[in-house]
Amino acid sequence: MPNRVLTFWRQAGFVAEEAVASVTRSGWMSGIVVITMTVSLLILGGIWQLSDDLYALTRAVGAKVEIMAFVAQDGDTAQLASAIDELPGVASTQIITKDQAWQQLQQEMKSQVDFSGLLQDNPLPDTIRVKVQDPADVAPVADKIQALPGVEGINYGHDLLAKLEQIMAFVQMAGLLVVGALMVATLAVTGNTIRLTVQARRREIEIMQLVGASAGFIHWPFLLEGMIFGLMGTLLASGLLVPWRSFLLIRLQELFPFVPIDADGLAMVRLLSYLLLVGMGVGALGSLFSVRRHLVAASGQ
Amino acid sequence: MIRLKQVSKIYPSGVRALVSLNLEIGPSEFVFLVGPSGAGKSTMLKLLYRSEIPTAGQVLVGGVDIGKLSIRQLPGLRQRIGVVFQDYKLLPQRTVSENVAFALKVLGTSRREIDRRTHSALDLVGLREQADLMPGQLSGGQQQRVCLARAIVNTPPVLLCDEPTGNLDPETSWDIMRLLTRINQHGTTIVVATHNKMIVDSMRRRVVTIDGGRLILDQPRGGYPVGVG
Ligand SMILES: Nc1ncnc2c1ncn2[C@@H]1O[C@H](COP(=O)(O)OP(=O)(O)OP(=O)(O)O)[C@@H](O)[C@H]1O
Ligand SMILES: [Mg+2]
Repeated sequence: MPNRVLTFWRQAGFVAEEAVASVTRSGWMSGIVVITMTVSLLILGGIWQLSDDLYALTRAVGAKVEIMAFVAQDGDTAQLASAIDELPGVASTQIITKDQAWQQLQQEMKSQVDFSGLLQDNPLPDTIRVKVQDPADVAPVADKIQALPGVEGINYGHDLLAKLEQIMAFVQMAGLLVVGALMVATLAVTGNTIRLTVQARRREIEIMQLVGASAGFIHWPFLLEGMIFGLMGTLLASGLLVPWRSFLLIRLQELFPFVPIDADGLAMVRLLSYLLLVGMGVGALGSLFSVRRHLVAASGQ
Repeated sequence: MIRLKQVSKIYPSGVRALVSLNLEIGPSEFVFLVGPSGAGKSTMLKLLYRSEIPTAGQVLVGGVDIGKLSIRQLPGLRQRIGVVFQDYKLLPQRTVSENVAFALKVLGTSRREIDRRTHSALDLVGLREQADLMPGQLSGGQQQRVCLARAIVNTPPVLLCDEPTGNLDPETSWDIMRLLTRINQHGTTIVVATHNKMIVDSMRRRVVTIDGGRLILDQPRGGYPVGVG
């Protein structure tokens, strides 16, 4: 029925008009809600980035860890290397023949020791240098390599890895806890502030009900208003987060040029869309709870 | 049009505001509801627009038991009942015409229709000139007329008025009563709760008297009963 469609669009227009008018009309109250929102989102975003960066950092360091597999005298080095390559979690392998190793060692030691005549036979084994995809996989992959026939022994940074794993787990846990707590706090604080603006408009709610607006319809201007608060808070928070982030990244890269911090814009876009989602969601939820109270109170139930 | 069957209302506080009340009001009737303070007049009106639900008995409006309406059905009832309040209940941050148009806007009425009806409602209550003023810039009587315009802009078949002249001087009160009479002549059923003896006495309309939540007198062409505050 075109009539119903028309009515719907007029009501949608009314909702948008009311929401925008309300944001501007309740001036300083809106300001407080937006500022509360901005601060919460800033902290949320900051923590998020920090835990992201720390995680990236530990991964980057972890990625430097390699497994050295020493091939037995009678082992087939090339075949072993391709077998290791097939193992799940392995990123790449590189063969260092005993001759290469011998030469390298001689070169490194040249100034200190004269090898000529000291040792005629090369005592070194062939070595396969293995890189793994995920630093967390180093230990299990190392175990698997050791179990392969023809492997004489392996070597990798046990202690460093264990530490890194601890740090990663801690960063993830702490980040999750802090972000979770902050979400709750954001909801409580903004919800409360929005409740004030809704309370200031309880007469509007009452009159809408008296003239026969449906309960569902009455929610919408308030929901939209909450989302507008969320949008404004996110925009403001982004306006501070993005420059700060760029600045921080530049400084960090100067300090640790070897650390490949995820500097692409994509991570930032992802973070900002999360913040937008959280901001608008919290705004809408805060409004919803506050309106609902008044609705139930005025319907004679 | 309106029918109350054995209606009782006991508030959660334990106050018995209405006790086994029976009353029938036909279409296009004009009824005064009188009684001392605390008699239950406002309570009765609230039951009629389902701002309260009866503890016992049935309240029928247009044949529908409105105590049984769900939240979803409530808007339909409210759209068919206009309400005028003693305290006006206007939105202070909107102009006079916005206040009146508000009742139509929430229903998704077209802009042209909103303008047309808002104009004629404001014309009827004599506030065409004040359309763009804020309620705070109006006198009490003018604000009461804005409230009235909002209540009738959707041309509801029933109009309920709770002490519409409570805060007004005699001359302004008469203006309001003349307006109500005109609206009633267009076929609207009107119930007016009031303490205004002078008006009730001179209008010679049906007068329903309640006291202590009970109906004690129902005169077809009555005056303000003697001995009632
Ligand atoms: N929301 C409420 N909760 C509890 N008691 C109430 C409530 N509203 C009214 N009452 C009580 O119910 C009784 C009837 O009140 P009501 O407002 O209907 O009287 P009224 O006839 O309109 O009086 P008035 O002429 O002073 O307006 C009074 O005793 C009042 O205190
Ligand atoms: Mg009263």
